Amino acid sequence: MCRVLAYLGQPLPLADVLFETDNSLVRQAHAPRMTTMLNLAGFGFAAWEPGSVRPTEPFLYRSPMLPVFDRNLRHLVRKLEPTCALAHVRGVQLAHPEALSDTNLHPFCIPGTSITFAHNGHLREFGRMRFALVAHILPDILSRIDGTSDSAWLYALLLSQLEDPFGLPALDELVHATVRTLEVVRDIRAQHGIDTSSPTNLFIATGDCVVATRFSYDYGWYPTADALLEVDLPFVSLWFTYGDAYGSAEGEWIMSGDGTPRSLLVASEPLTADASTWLQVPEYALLAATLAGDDLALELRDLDI
Amino acid sequence: MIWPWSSVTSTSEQLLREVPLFEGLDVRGLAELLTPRELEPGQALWRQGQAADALYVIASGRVAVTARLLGEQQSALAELGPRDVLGELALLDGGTRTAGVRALELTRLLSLSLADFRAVVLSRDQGARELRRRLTGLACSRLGARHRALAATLAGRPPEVRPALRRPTERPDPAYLLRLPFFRNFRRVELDALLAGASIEQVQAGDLLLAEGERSAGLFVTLNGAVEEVIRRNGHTIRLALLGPGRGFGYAGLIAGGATTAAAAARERSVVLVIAPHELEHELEHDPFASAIDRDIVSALRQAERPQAPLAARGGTPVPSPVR
Repeated sequence: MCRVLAYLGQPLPLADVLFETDNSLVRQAHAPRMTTMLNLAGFGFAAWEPGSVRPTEPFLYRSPMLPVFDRNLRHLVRKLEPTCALAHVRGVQLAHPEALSDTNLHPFCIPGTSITFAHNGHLREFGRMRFALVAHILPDILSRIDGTSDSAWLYALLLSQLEDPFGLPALDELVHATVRTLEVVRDIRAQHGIDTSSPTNLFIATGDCVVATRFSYDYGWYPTADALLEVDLPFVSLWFTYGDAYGSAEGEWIMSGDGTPRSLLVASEPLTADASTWLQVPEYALLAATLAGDDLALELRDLDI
Repeated sequence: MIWPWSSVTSTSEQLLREVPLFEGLDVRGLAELLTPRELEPGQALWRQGQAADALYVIASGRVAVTARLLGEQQSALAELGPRDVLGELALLDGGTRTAGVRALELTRLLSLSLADFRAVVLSRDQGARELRRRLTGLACSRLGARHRALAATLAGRPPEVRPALRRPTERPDPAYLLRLPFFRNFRRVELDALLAGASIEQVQAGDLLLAEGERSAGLFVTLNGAVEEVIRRNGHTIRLALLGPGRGFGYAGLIAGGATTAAAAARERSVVLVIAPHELEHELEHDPFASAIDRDIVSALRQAERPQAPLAARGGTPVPSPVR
């Protein structure tokens, strides 16, 4: 089960959350705390720095290498302090090595867009749904799907729900597109009689907005003798914390401040073993945040899909 | 620091007898397992998030219990002194500490480790077995109290609704059931014996299984699908927990001797195992059933005592946790 991290807020030393905390995202690749599945099939991140060249475009890095051994990654992220980021470590079943590919690495970002996407979960029986999805994807987007995974197609479906997939959508439009994506998949599953558990935690980042879902279709129903049963029995996890800025204080990594949101971290697992300063995103919920100057607006909505 | 046992005026056995949790128990076997500990003023007994591996009884002194919250906020939960018990849920299922404890003055304590407690329960020590029953009851009572505290944040009364009719259905594959958390320590023969005295029933998404304020129809275990525990008042809902496959519900009120403190409704189409109240009483005498209940109630309590994130569409009010 992949692990994901999204950030929005004050400039954040990216190395801190990728490498330094005791349950950092890179550590979750080989030693996750809340899933039994390892995430050894690649790493990637998108990051926005307002002071960089073409600041609305994300800095993109994706590699099939295990990130803990990636020295280039360590050197690069030491120089990055983004105000928005989306990072992902990828898990692939041993039974499906053919899914290993550069084009299946997250976060997805079709050239020309600033909308990046990552997925934590999997759509069971995706092969039966793939061609029904075509009717819901814009031709311009369909021709640019490089990956073969359910996640690559979910990204294309999401972009196709936007008025202009190559523009910069406002938060409301992004939330609407996310909900529509989940609804389209729901309807296609129903048409094809697919009714087994399919965790679908989606993460979208645009530089000034972050949207994340904690969601599963038909949670609690599994195929007979399912190899992923123990992985999928707990509802796929999603946590968040917010405050002034994330950093180390007296040896502990926390969001400083009194809880007023100026920065937001959303992650599959808390970035520290001590989860007391993190909150769980409720099951069947969507978290949406937007940044305007120093102000961060944050909302949790129920997903009745 | 270890304090010399001879320096206290009472023996460990006498001390335990003066603690309400141990009242009336044969504590001779337990008393032999106690380990003394001394804290200097300001010294931490444990930090929030550390592994929970022992119960403590305060012999003398005072400690403060605090919980860290979002950001740099902290919540002072309690000050405890002589004859008070700390960290008792550790003896049911370990896990992690949900609050920190620090000495306010020179404090002497006795600790009973989870490993020693499990060993003495397995040896069928009567005092230890009764203590375990009391701890299970205590956890059930605390869950009910937490639900009532959350309900008090909403105005109004529970809606007057009747549980939906549950329809009998086929028993899932035992190989599947043995992979669920509730049954993970069951042998096949133990599972079969449990199922023989239970019923398997199905409900549709949205169906109400338990109404708040009524006596529960028994212990429920979700086998497929998911059930939500909720508190509803005047169109507002607080979701307490989502109970997927292998999670129990409906039993806390029966064990604590009261009505249900939350409604339970199917979020997904679901299949549940139902054990009638009189069967529950019988099953609680035996492992692995009793251990399964202990794990489940501690998990439910820790979930309920965590601060909850508010859902805008549901109108629930976030309440700081009285975590202990």
